[in-house]
Amino acid sequence: MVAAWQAPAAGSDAVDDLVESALAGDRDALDQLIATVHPLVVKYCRARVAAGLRAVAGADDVAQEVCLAVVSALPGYRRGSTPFLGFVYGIAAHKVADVHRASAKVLSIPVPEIPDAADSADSPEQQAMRSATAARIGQMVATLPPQQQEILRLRVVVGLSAEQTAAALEMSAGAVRVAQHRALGRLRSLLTEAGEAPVDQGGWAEVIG
Amino acid sequence: MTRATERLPDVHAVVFDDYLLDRLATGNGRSDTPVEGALRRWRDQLLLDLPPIPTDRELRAMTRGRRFHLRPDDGGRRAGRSWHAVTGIAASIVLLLGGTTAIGARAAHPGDLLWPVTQVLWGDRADSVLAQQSATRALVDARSALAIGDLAAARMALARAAAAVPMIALNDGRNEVAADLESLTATMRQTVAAPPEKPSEAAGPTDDDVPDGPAAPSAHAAPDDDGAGRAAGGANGNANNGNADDGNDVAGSSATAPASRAAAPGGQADRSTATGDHDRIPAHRSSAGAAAPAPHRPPAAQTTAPPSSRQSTVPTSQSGSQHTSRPADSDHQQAGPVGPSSDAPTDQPDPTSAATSPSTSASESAGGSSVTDTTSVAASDDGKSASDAASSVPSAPSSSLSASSPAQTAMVPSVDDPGSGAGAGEQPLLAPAIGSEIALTSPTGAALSVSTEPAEPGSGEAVTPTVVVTSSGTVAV
Repeated sequence: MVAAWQAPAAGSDAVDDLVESALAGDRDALDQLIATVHPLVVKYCRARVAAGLRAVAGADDVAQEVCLAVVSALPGYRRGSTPFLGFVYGIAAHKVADVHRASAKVLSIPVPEIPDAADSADSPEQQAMRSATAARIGQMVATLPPQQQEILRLRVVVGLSAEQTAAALEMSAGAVRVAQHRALGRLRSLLTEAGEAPVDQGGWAEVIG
Repeated sequence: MTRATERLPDVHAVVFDDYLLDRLATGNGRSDTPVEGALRRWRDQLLLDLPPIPTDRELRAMTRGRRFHLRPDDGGRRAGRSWHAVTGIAASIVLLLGGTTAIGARAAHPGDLLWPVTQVLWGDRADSVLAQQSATRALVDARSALAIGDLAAARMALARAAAAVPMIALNDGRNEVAADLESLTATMRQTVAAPPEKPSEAAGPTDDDVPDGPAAPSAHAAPDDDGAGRAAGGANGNANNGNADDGNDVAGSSATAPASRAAAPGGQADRSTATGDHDRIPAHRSSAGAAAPAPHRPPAAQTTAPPSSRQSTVPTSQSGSQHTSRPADSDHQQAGPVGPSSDAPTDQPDPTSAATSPSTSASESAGGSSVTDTTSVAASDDGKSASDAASSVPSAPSSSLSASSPAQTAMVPSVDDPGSGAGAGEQPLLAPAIGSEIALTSPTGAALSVSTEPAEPGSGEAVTPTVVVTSSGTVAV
């Protein structure tokens, strides 16, 4: 359990040390800080942006924006006021909200270049199935209260520990654990209502759909 | 999952779910529960093809051109911005200073810090300023030279100034300098006209003067308009003095100066009797005035006897600032300019120039101790030549060299020529019959006699004028 709590993200102490160094002008520290924050931000953005009909690439762009915003806002960060993860989460949440507002108007997805050849990685059907699966679950998660949604994203997709999630959401670890327990219970009920029990990855989406 | 359990979650269930989520977060383990499986697929789907982690450098590359500022390590960026600012400010300062310097240099004068800039940027103005300065300096020199009576130096200085004046821009006070130059020139002429009296010395100078035969033709003009006899006394006396003085210096030049002076006394009388020739007199005056200084030195002559336009200005200044007696002088001096025809020949012996003139011999007996020199001028026989001489004067602005003759001609009026009073225009006023003698009486009582003799009987018309001046002796030319 202890080992499991050591999420990909470094411990808060380590992150805070990196922030200190970066604020002092240490470029290496800043690079490490970005390397620590970026995956988390990417996952979070994907969890939120791609939950809809958005492509992953758009989420990654958003993640990039978030990282930039984090770096640019770094000088304004005061250690001790809020956990750094909470600081990053606040920025990311606002950024994603901005993207959602903007995407409501613009339904285009910016891509660096239009591919000439077909993508051989996944067949369109498979891709559709997968995205459909993810979309189904995303839709199910979206039915949860916002706080539980965030907790599930942070815990499952971003991979934060309960403590880290609590820090990001400025909650107590206990409240996070209770909330995630209720979210899982809600999902279980949804799945049960949707039909048969556990399904294998292939047909599960169809069952739900 | 009853309501009760929802309100009071089972601690075990909470811990279980927490553990489940931890497994999902780390990707470890595998669960066959529907919820765990669905969440895992959700997670795996979202985490496919994670983008590479951007480095600080990449991020900063992205931030370029954006409004993001990487404060912690933005030293370079800020330095870049400040570098731009510094460059711009420096360029502005350079432009400002350059412009100020350029503009300021316009008003710079030699010796100023900006003078070199002026020479580079405003070459024309620099030349003008230099010319103005040299002209001013020359005028100062001329003034001081005049103050100490050094006429030669004054003339040189005036020549320098006159040469520099045209190069002065109007903005740099060309008019002022020109006016100054003219007034100085006039002053000098005045000074020349009334040099300090010196004890005259014998006939020595007289001899020098006499040979200036070329003056002869001009003699005609002089007598034109005066009743010679009346003026004779005063004119002669002055003329004598003047000539004597000049004789001390240089024969040629000295002759002129006195000429104008000598003329002064008699001038009024002359004017009163002036005849139709007066029309030309103004022109004479100017040329005479300008010419007067000239004879001294050829260089001076060049500058002081420039184009007629320039001379024409002389009378103006004269009338303006000069002494009142000036006009009177001029009347006499007109005789001098008459000589223009004999400009070049000034130095030549009279035979050449006076080829057609009757020989005039003037003899004067000096009265008292003062020595008088008499210049007699041989006039050409026929009135035509006389009128030629007279008419040529106005059109001959630079009669510089003939200026020596004025001295002599000035005295001519004093020659009591019976015929002089008669025909002013056509007839030679001084056309003594060949072989005749003209008796002159100077105010001092000196008697002057001019005799005309046929010099070369064999040459027919050609008559060599012979001027015999008798002061203490007789000089025959």
